[in-house]
Amino acid sequence: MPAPNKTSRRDFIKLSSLAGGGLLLGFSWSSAEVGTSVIMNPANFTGELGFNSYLSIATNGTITIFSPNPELGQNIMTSFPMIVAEELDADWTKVKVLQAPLDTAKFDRQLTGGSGAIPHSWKRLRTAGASARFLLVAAAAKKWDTDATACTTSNGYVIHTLTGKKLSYGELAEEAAAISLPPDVPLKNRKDFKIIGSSPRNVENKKIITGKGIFGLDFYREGMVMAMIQRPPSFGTKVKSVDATAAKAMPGIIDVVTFKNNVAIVGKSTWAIMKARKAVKIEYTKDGNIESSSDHDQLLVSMLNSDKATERRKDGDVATAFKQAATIITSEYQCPFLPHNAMEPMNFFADVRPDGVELIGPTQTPASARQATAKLLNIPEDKITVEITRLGGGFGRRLKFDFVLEAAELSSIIKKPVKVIWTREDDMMGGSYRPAVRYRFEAALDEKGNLIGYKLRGAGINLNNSTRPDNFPSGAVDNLVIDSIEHISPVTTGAWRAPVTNFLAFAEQAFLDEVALAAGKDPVQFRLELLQKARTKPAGAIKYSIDRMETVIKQAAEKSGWGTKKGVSQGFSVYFSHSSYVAQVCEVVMEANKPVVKKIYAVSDCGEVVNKNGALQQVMGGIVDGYGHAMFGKLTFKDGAAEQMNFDQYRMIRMSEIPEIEAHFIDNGIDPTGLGEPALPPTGGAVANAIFKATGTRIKNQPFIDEPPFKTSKGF
Amino acid sequence: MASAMPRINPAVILHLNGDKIIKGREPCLIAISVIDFFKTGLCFNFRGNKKGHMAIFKLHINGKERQVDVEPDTPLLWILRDHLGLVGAKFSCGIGECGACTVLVDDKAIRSCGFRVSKIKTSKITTIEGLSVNGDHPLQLAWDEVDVPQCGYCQAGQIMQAVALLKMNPKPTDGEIDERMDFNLCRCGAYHRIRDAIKLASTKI
Repeated sequence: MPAPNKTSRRDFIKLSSLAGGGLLLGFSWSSAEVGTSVIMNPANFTGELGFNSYLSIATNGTITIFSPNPELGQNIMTSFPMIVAEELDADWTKVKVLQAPLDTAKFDRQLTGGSGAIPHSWKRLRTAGASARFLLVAAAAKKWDTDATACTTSNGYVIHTLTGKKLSYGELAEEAAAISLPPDVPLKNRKDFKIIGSSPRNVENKKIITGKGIFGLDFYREGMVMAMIQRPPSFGTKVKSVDATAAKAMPGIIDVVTFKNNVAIVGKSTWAIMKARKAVKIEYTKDGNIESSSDHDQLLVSMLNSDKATERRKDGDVATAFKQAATIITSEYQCPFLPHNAMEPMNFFADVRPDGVELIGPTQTPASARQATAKLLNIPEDKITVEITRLGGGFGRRLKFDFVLEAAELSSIIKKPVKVIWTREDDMMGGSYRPAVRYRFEAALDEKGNLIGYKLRGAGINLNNSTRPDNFPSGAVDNLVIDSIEHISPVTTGAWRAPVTNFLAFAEQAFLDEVALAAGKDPVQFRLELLQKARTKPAGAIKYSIDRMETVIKQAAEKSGWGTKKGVSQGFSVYFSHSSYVAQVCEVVMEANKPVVKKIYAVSDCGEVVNKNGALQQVMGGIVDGYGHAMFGKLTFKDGAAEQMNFDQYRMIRMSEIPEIEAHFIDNGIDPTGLGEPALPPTGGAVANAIFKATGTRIKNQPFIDEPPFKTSKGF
Repeated sequence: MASAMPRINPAVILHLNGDKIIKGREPCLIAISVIDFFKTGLCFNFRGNKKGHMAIFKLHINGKERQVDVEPDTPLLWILRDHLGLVGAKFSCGIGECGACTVLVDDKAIRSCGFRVSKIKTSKITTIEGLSVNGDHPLQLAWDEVDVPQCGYCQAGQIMQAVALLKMNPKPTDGEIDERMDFNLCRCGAYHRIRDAIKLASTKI
């Protein structure tokens, strides 16, 4: 593929004939906002789909938009094109969306993580759509020998306002080719939005509900082989010896290959490999600390008393505040490791050939995966292509690319195209977990119940900073210190949906309720008072919007009828993460002497809601995820090995266990922020606070199911 | 419906799945009895070779007769995915706990990951690919209308489980829906919409 020509903004859009008629309006997603762009060489895309970023308009009016970011259920393949189509004034029913492969020259931030795609691309995508619309209008004006201001657009047509004459985008695309683009194309006023804020369905629904092979595990190519890899079952061990004689003689087995600490069973069918895998005899030897969960529990407690913590934020004079305090509240909270358990187990296809490398599969970070593969195989990056399939869930696990490297290394050894498949057991035993963390909170209240001092220490296993030092209530407390300490373990950890905040939010919001109780204040009122303090007399830097947080708190209280309901115990929680604000109220009732979570209200402020339907889905899914894992999620270790290996031993939330959810959004027109993660963090806190209200029992550890009031000395 | 109570596994029963004792939810449907295994195995033409036993199986899948030459213990899931290119049924847990691999065997929902080919005999198999010609089965249409999928990986299995449910009980209550759909996991937490889609489809069947 020839390198794209860098050119000036003025030449931003270049049109060229398509083989099938119509035109391609090339734009670069990476630089739609900045001064340089990319012109597509017409030879590049003739008859070939999938390697350039572009918006194409066919003569029949069909608009094709490439979506660069990996789709794992956050609905980006629908939301991104909606933004382009809005500014283009396209007929949404005629928009086709295709997943773009990795192309760092044309796209930037081609990854899925941190709920960052929408805020990053909002203006870029709008500019891309608006630029194409500008050219189409100019082409129509020229045809009608009138001024562009005499024309409007609607649903894929340019309309002459006076006469009502109209031309479709398909008819105009060719004319638009000769027109150059001014440096600044105006964007729509949000009151004119028709597509943004609507609820179109997921563009891949049809493929999903008819069972099309769109996921990585579905990928097949003639001549490829399959492989499973036996990795050391215990963290802190390595391969000592391998006897694969019996396995190699089994039907359908091509080879058994050992590299690093991996024993790869290569074969023609999955079942043959699964059977042969059991016949491979591997001995392991110690290669580091062999840790169990009981060790971690002790470690976390002792780390909280260490003098080696790293300071993350300090405001005022904490020691004096605690000396002067009328009341001091101290509390500790702990969570276990969690596997991600994406429904599609890890997998990747690699074909390492002398002329280059092809990587195909589900990854959240195609660019990093390619970079690492280039380094591993000592091949220049431009010799490696990465195609992104739909991801059967990610939850942060697919930000790592260990499985990509395995496939690439194995293919380079066996000199064959290979798809590496993980089983559920491989997935749950294979690491990159949400780290186990323990927090200690201390709060100092004066005699009037004002929060005058606050301390938070986080201790994490393989988690460098288990705190978010600038999050609320930072800024609202004059004397505050936040620090953290880490234990380095052979148990590998990584990002897990809403990293850190997925547990920190629960701990903070539950602790704030403890403090409110001690201060004799209503939990909602207590939070609002703290925000008012942050507004009128801020302590240190404030890195969240007080107004936005206040609004979601008030709205959640109002929507849920906070404090007005009889026979229902309500718990409150609010959290700012990944640039969005979410407040939740959980309602619990007692049934047969046990608390039952009936309903969760959520009020979210993610700015402009791009896709209402999709946003609702993210909030509901985030709440179910947050609730399910807070209640049931637990991965423990014995002698370095995960003790839960599959869904018969690891409990995940099922349909009969979900509460009713009522979700609301703040309509404030602020540029949008992400929603893949922000609804999850507040849930655990709202639930635990409601359970406390109902039972008087304060849950401090996850999973809740292992704690009173659920677990009693008599068992369940 | 909503419950924070410890859930009692509906069927904590030990049964035999090949060489491994596992705990399952629908023992009657995924368990392979040793006797059945040999009985069925003997019905077929075994071709012994030094590397293992292969056999030819004639299967009725999505209204067509398909023939595969595989080891008799091969689970239906891998026949579909590896041998017939029908990838709608998904692999996720491999032990019948998540339902991603759900297909119909004579209108009953089974977990194809543990259902061996030798067990199939003359049963008619329906996968998501064979549910309708144009993807317009009432449940598929409802899934689209309610916009159920997030990542989408579990959804074919969810739909097939729902097909079996509505065949058995065309007008299920919420509780009856939950009871049957509890066999299927959705990691994205799309359960509310799955339930809504089933209710919508039940008004149209």
